[in-house]
Amino acid sequence: MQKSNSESVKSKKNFGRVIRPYLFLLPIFTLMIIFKYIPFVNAIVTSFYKWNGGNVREFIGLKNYIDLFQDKQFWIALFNCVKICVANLVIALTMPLLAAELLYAFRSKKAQYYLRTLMTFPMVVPGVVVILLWKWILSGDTGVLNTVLTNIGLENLVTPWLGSSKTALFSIILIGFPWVSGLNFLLYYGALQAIPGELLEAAKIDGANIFQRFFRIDLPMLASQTKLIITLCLINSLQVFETIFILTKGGPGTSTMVPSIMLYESAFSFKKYGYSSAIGVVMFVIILIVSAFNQKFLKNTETMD
Amino acid sequence: MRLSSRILSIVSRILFYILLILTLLPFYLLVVNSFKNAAGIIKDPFSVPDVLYIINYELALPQIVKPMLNSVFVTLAIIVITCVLSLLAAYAFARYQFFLKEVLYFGVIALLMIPGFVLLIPQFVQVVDLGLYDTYAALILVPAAYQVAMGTFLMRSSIEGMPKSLFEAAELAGANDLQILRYIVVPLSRPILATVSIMTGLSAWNNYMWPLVASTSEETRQISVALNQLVYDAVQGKGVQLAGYVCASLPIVIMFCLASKSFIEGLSQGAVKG
Repeated sequence: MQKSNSESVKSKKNFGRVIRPYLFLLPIFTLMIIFKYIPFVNAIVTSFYKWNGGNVREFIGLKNYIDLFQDKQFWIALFNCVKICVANLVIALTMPLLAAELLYAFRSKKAQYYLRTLMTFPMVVPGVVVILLWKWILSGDTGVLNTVLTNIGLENLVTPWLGSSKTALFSIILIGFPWVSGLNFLLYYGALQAIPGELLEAAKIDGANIFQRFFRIDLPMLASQTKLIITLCLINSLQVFETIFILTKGGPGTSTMVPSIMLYESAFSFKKYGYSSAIGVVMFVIILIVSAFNQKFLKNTETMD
Repeated sequence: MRLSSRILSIVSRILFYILLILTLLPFYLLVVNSFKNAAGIIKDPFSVPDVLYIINYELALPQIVKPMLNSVFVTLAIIVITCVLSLLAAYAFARYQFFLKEVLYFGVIALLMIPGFVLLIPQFVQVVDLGLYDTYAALILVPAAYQVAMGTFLMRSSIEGMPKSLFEAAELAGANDLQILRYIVVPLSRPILATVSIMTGLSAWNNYMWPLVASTSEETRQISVALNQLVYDAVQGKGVQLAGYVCASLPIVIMFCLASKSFIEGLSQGAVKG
């Protein structure tokens, strides 16, 4: 960008052309700098401070981080997060694929279209409604699940699902059962539809049965979707917040505690903004590492085949 | 062989329908029980109600009409801001070569990776510092700052995919950037604008944590927050809350029924952002 002192029309016009793209970018950057970049930098800076949200603010170096790594609750929260990650991963890689294969097996394309739309329906119900609905289904006194268990003679299984530290985490994973609606299903189903017809035709002529077709054709053809689902699933599980916030707030005890809830509570309940920021920074780094790892893993396998 | 494949096909159909029924069951429960009183729900949550307790809706509606209108306003504002800012930015990235172009582009999309909860508190502090706590501005601008990244990403590739000859012809005819945007880019961007609007709109309508943190007064209360605060009496019980949930879901469900194809498109693209 060279500023010209000459008053000629041409250079004025050139200058206009040079700054024009920046003018187009001005609004978006104004918005992002004020509401994303400054808060992000503040989060990092605050993590080195002891701050009560008001007048007490002193630089304490790495103390928040040292405290955090010695905080038993943080390790419990991380471990709960890992449990949720593993469970979600197992679920995400099996159930939606099963549903997609079953739907794909329907002969009529029209039936497939309508059934897919029906299957997608829960995705447009507001997330809060879905969570509150499951809160009711799983609730202790008048919950639907307990009513069903009583009615079929399994009274001894009746329990306050979200209110007992033994079952709370399990109940949170149970939400969305049978876990087939949603993005993963759409991704798998879309990929199945994209498998070239000649490939399936050839397999048929060779006398491949349905299981051979699944393992030799479908699974390899779904490889990139599977990798995407793994990445999304890991990142989303590490960020789990709203569901647990509405259902249990991390309790009973620490049985459903996760880092996001700890972060929220240490800021808003305990006024430890510095400590809260340190949790955020650590989680950000963990998610960054997981994403980078995935990126590498994705690239490597892609060059292999 | 023939017979076994027929059996397999029947079994797979039955299995699929079982999965579908289980998937939709909570929503069936939601609708039927929203018409029952407390006793009816406890007696048998699965039955179709014999008496329709419309009173559930009469009790729920006054509690959620105002929050729903608030949410409609905030959602529309977020959609408009996201579409306009993303389109302008995407146009610059797709049509111009300029100093620091790719660095700036990275600056727009890089923060997609930051988990929402990490920024929740610093954003709250920022909004308080700016004197925007409990205002529509806070409820609109902060979510929009998230959405513009994905919007720019999707629209840049859309504009880059448009035929170059169109732009050249327009420039030869003396059209300026705004005219090119207005008469070429916007009309050709309808599908991608629809996708971005649906994606943005859904996440704005569903947003719970930010409105919970950024607003307190009834004046600005958003629907998702109001749903978690619905009050009811002992006689009608849970039914009132369920009626509220049904009402809050209806606007989007109706739109989904009218345009399920673009919705599914928007949903798939939106969640892949990761």
